[in-house]
Amino acid sequence: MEFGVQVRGDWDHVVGVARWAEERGLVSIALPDHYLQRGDNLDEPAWDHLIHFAGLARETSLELVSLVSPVTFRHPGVLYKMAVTIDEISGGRFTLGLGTGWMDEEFEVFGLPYPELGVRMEMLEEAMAYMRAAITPGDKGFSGSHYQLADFDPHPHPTNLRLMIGGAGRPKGRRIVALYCDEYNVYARKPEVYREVWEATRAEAKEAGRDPDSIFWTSAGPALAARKDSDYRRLLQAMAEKTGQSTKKIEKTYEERGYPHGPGSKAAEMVAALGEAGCQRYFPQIFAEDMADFDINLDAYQG
Amino acid sequence: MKFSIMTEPHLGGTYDQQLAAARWAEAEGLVSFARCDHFLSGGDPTPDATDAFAVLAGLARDTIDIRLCVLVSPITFRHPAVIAKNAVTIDQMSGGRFDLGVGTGWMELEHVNLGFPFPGWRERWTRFEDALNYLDAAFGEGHGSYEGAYYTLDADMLPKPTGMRRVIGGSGPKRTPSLAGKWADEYNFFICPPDEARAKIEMMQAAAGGRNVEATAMGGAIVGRTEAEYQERLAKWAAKRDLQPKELEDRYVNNGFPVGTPDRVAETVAALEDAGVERIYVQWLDLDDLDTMKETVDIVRGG
Repeated sequence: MEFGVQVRGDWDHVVGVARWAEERGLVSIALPDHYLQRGDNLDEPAWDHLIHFAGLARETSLELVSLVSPVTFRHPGVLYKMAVTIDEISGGRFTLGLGTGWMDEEFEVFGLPYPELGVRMEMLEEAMAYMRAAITPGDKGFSGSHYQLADFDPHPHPTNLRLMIGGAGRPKGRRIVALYCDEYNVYARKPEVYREVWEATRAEAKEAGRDPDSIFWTSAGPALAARKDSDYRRLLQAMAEKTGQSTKKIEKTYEERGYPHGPGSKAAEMVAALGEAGCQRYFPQIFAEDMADFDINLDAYQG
Repeated sequence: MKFSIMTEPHLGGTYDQQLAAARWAEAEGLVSFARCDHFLSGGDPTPDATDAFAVLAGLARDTIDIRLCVLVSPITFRHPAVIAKNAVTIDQMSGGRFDLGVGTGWMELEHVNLGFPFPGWRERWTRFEDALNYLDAAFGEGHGSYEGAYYTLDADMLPKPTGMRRVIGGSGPKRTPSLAGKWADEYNFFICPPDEARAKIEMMQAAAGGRNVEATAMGGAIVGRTEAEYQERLAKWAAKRDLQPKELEDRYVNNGFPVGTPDRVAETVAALEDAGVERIYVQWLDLDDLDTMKETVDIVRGG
C-alpha cells in the first residue's frame, strides 16, 4: 500500500506538510477543494486548491492530487486549462479529481450553482467526458446538455494529466470511472464494500473495451490513529473538542463507516484490509496543526 | 513614467518562457509582469494557451518582488467566488504582489469553442458590474452581502487580500473609466493618442472623486536602435500580419503606439506622460523572441 496525505490550510501549512511528506517518503499530497473549511464554521479562511497546486508544483517533487473539486465550482473549460497548466508546471505530476460537491453551505453563501444531486451527477459525467475529449489529441468535441466542446484540438496537450473522481462507489460513479478516469478514489468504505465497487467497476471497464488494470484505486478517510493508546486518546479528545461530538459518538461513527482508525495496530490492519480489497493508495486526511501529530498518525497507518 | 511588461501567452508560450520574461522584468526593476487571460486564439493547430491564474501562481513562487498581474480576466469564464478565491490565494502565496484585472470578455471564439456562455454585450456588462459588486463585498472587511441579478454573496469571505490591487481595463471612453474610478486601484486602457488618453483619465478621475487611481496604458511597440533596425522589425511584423510595412506603421501611429528610433519613441512616451499616463505596459506578443522583447522594453523606457 502506498501512502499520500491530505491536508487543508493556508500556504505555509500546505508547503510545510509537503516538505514533511517528502521526508517521510510519501508519494503524493492531496488537497480538498472547499471554499469553506467546514459547513458549520463560516469563520475559518479557505483558499483555492488549484492555485495552491500551481505553487506546490514549484516547491515539491510529490504527486499533486485534487481530492476532489466540486463540479459546479468551475466550467470544465476552466478545469481543462488549469489542469493542463499545472501538468506543465509540475512536469506531469497532477491528478485532477472531481466530485458532485456536498457541503451545502459553501454553495449557498457564495452563490455558487448547486442543483440537486441527480443533476450534479449528470454534470460530473459530462465534465469528465469533456475533459477526456479536451486532453485527447485530435479533433474530438463533446456535446452534452450542460457542457459543449467544439470539434477542435485544444492545446496544450498534457504530458501526464490524470483524471479521477471521488465518491461513494455508486453505479453512476462507477460508470464515469470506467469510461473516462485514470483513478477512482472511493471514500471511506469498508473493505467488503470497496471490493464490490472494485469488481463492478472493473467489469464495467471490461465491457467498455478497456483494460481494467488501467484504473488506479485509492481511498481516503479522516485521520484518527496512534500506536500509543495515550496518543490515540488525546487525538480523539481533540477531535471531540473540535467537532463538539462526544468521543463515544465519534468512535461509533468511525466504526460504522469503516474509517481506518484506532490505537495500536488497528488502523494499519484496517488499511491493509482495504489493500486486500483492491485499494492501492491511502490518503489519511490529517487536519492537525502540530507536525508531531502527523508523524503519530502516519506511523499508525503504516504499521 | 513607470513600466511593466504585458504578454499574450494565448498566442503560445510555455511556463518556462513566461518565467524567463518575468525574471528578466524583475531584474530590470519593472513594476510588473502581466499576462492576458485568454484560452485560445485562432490558427491551426491552436497555440499552447496556458491558464493565467495557474501561471501567475507558479510565478508567485518563482519570483521575489515583481508584481504579477492578470490583465484582464473575463467575467464570463469564472464565477466571481472563484475569481476572489484565486486572487486571495495568489495574494498570500506572493506576499501581496498580485494585481487582479477583470473585464467583460470579448473574444467570441474562445467562448464558442470551449463552450462558455457568451451572452450579448448588454448582458455581459450587467454581469460585469454585478461581479464587481460581488468582489467588493467579498474583499471588503466583515460580512459581505450582495444580491445581484446573477451573483449573490452572503458571507465573510476569508481570508481578505493583503496587498492585492484591483485593475479595470478596457478601451471604451466613458463606461470603463467611470467604473474604474469607482472600483479600481488602477485604470488601464489601450494606448491611444494623448488627447484621447487625457479625456479618459479625466473621466476616470471624476468618478474617483479624489481617490487615487493609477492611470496606465498598454500597447505594442515596434522600435529599433537605428532606423534600419526599426524598418527591419517593422517589415517582419507587417509580414506576419499580411500588411505592407507602411500600413502597419500608420496603424501604430494612429493608435499612438511607440514606434521608430529612441528619439521618436521618447516623444511618444513623454506625450502620454503629459496626458496623465503614469505607467506603460509594453505589450510583447512573441515569447520565442525574448531578446527583441528586452530591447524593445529597454528603448521604450529610454534606456
